[in-house]
Amino acid sequence: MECAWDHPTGRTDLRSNQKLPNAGLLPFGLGITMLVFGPLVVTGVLAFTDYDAIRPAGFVGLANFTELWNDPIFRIALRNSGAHVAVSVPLRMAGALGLALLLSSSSRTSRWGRTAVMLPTILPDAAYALVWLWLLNPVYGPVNAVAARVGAQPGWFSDPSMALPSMVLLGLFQIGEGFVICLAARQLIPPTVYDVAAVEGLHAVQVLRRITLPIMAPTLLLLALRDLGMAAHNSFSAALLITDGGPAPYATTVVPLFVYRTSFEYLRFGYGAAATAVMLVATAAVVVAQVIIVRRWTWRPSEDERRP
Amino acid sequence: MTTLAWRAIGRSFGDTEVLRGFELAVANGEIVSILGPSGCGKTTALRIAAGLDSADEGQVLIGDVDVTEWAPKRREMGMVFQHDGLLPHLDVAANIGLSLRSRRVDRGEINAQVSAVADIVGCRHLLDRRPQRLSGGERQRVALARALVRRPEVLLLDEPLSSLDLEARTDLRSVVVRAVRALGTTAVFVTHDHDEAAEVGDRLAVMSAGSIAQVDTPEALYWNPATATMALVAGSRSMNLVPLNHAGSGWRFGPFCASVEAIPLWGRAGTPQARGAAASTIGFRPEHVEMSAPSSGGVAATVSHARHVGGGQFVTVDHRTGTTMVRTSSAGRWVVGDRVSLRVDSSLLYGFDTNGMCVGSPDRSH
Repeated sequence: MECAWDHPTGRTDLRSNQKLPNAGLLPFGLGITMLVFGPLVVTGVLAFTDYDAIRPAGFVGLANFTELWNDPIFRIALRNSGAHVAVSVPLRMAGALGLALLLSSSSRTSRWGRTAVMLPTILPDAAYALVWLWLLNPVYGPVNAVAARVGAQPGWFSDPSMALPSMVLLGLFQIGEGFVICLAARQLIPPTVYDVAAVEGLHAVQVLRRITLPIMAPTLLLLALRDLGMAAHNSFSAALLITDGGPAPYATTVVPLFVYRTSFEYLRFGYGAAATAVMLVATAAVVVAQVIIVRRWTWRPSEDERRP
Repeated sequence: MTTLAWRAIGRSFGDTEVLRGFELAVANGEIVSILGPSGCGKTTALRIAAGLDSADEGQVLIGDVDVTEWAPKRREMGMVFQHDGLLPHLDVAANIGLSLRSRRVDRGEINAQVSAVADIVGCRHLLDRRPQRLSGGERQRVALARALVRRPEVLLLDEPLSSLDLEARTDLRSVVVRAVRALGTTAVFVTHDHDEAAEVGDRLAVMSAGSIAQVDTPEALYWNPATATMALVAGSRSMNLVPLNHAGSGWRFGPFCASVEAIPLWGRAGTPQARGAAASTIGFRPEHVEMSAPSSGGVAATVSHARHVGGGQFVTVDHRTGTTMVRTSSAGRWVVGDRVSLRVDSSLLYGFDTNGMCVGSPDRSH
């Protein structure tokens, strides 16, 4: 027997309605083509040329890549970026997750706490960098004034061994975005789950390890991927605005800054494109590795729901 | 094997007093159903027993031990919630074995215990599935298995069936009873559905205004309700409640008239007059009204609403003093507009005083 709601004509109507949302995606599609896919293709092509914005581009084969391989500054930049991401992403994730779990209740303290966590993230990058320059100023900064009391005089951005860790520290407070996502994911977990845990006698660590983290895992994976990009972004503005890649020798020269200088200061667009390509491949490799690792211990709602 | 008791429990949320002098004792191996409308405090009482909520006053006793201040874990109770609370990232077997795993029980032992309880509850075939692929009824079966896997001495069931469809609900009622009986667990079953409460519970505890108004077997509650409210709750169809008035040499209640002698039910405890006068309201159950084709002697009425229920009909009739609800057996097929004649067996009347307290109920030999 045929029911009214799955009559063939009804289905056709539904399908024609589907065209509207597809048309609505057009502006976004255009934007992403021009801003992402276009530049991606151009970068891919430029990486094999010696384009300098003055003469026409000439094909140079793999010359840019062999030069990068032997370029000591690029190696330093690669190492700096790798170290920055490796330390900064886990710390930022831990910070966002930890604060979200601590501030997930609806108490008055929690509400104020949430606002406080968000504030550094909504500041413009330049203003944020300037605040840190003042805070960590070795001569008149308040942090060093306190440190001087105990006899320490750290040169936050002037000591080559401390400049990169200082940049990581600076990025640790701009975790509002990840914090909000973690908070939302935590509040979506049904309270019954925690009642069950209490009755069944799970202690706090078991609740975190067996319940909260696995349920939040898909969100955390997404966040980690996003934060890879954020860390690179953070490192660029800080390196450009605070340290200018220094102190010597290249203590905070990260790959994005290397690309920026090579391309827009030395006008070696081909060489810069090759460096960008290397950065993209390295990032993609880390992303794939993360996906593989997290898939092993996580639950993906889509998979279970797609089965009949 | 143990008992569970609430002693004079009080609990308020802000200005709202949810529980006041809540008292209930559940015997060893007994299933008590707590029955009451939504928001009456049933769930709060259960959460206080489990240690998930704390009472402002009063005590919770397991056996002779005062556990009021104990953490939930230490109470070692099992609990099934309205929402199953199954973990989406674990399969059914891991969900059931959750508490054993957290207690570092040996893996082989966990598997054995999980299989055993899955057999009792009837979810053995689901063990390697994820909760997302289960129906609502199957999910609650798994939740029941999870609560029972540790073989708790006390099991609390907080409206576990209320979000299920009718078929799954009927099915699971017997699953709950069988599982609890098989393990000899002392259990408390909370519900707002009278039939469900009566089917699952050995005794029914009816809640009213934040405390237990009456505790008795479903049958005793039906025949001897303590108040008019209890009479409305017990029995799956509401009672007809009408004022009792003195009329000449006899009595009048609703459309019916009766001589003093014809109201014999409370004659057992005193003179008919004295007891009859104490009752200001008369109650009679829809199933105790006899309805037939118009005839002399009965009360004339007209069918205004009729629907099929079970093997008979649930009929609303209009008459000169208002409306009466009648539950018929399969014999009559009444339709709206039919003219009928009503009779009520005066030995099956309930009497209530001005405070709603029951002052007389049918002689059960009828």
